Amino acid sequence: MVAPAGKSLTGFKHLKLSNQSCLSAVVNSLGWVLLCCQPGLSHGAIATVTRTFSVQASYSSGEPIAMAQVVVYSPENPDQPWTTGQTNEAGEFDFSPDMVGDWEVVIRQAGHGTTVNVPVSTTAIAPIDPQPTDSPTATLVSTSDPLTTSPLQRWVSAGAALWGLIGTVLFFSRGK
Amino acid sequence: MHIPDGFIPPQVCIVGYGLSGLITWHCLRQVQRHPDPAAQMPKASLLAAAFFVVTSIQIPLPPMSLHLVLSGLLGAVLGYYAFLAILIGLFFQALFLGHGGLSTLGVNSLIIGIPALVGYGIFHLRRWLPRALTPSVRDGISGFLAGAIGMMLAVTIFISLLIFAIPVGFDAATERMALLTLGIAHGPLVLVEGIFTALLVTFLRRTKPELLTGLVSKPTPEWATERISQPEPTNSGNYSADRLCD
Repeated sequence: MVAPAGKSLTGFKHLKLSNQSCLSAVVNSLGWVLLCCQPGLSHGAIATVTRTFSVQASYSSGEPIAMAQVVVYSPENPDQPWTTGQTNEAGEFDFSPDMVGDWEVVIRQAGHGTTVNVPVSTTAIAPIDPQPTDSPTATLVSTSDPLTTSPLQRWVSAGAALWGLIGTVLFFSRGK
Repeated sequence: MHIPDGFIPPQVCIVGYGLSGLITWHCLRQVQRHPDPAAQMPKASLLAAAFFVVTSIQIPLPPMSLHLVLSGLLGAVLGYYAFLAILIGLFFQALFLGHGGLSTLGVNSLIIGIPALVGYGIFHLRRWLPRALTPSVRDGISGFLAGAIGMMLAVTIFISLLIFAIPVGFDAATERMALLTLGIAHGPLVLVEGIFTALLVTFLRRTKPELLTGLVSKPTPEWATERISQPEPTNSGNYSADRLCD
């Protein structure tokens, strides 16, 4: 039921080079002039960096939710899916958001699953939880784990609930 | 069997809360009719604790993990208290374990609570079983049916709620297939739950029969006296207890 989401920062570099080599003899001079006037057209380089978010879905027992359906909603249109997909065997799914805002990722399999909000900003992403993750480069961006508390706290609170019930038993079964 | 937050439309959540509110009110009324409602409290609270623990334990059965629901068992042993015990158990699970959700608490209590009340009804049917059988066998059979049918009903309600609420974007066919697989995977658990309920009920009948007396709905003297005439020494005081418990 729990899908902690980790973010990995991946840079893609697209190098677009235009090449103008085969100009006919007739327009040779014209082309030469064009090349001289607009040097940017000939050897322009564009670098695009995209950020890929990697979502890892697992049950609270730690077992990954493999082959679950994933739907990603963009901040602009929260009603229509931006993209859909499936988690892999390890319960992972990657997507590259193209705008700033709160993205929503829904993971679902046989009525089980979770929803996680992914805050995307152009500048730096403030890690909400400084807990160390498996990969040193991955920073935890967001998690749908309602219990960001430590396992100890979780067990203590569950134990308190249990003790409340047992206490009720003892209270009502005390001698009259 | 616990629907998490955000998996069903808000309208369904609201209707779920409304219906479970009505059922809770009805159950509380039934409990209030009891001359001493507090008498059953230890039993109800103990089983709420058992429910809280047992239904939190996931049994890994690849590719999914399942858990028992104990609907039939709680219904058979607790009667109208079962719904209240389940409601409290589910509330604690949503709050402390992140199992289910607060917005879906109403719906989840219906998924597990209605089968409990049905299990209560089924367990009563033991009086219609052939008299030739010993009371212990009759209890066992009705306990098994209560447990097994309770589980089946819970799975059926769970799946049918989700199958009609597949949001846009999800591949409905895949999700339906996954839900049906989940239903089929619960087959062995239905038997486990039935056998477990039957064992517990027969065990209680042998050791602490007064714990089962809360089940009696309307004391029909004919069968109540018949039960007393059974050669079970501990049953001597049951008739008055039966009356009290209604």
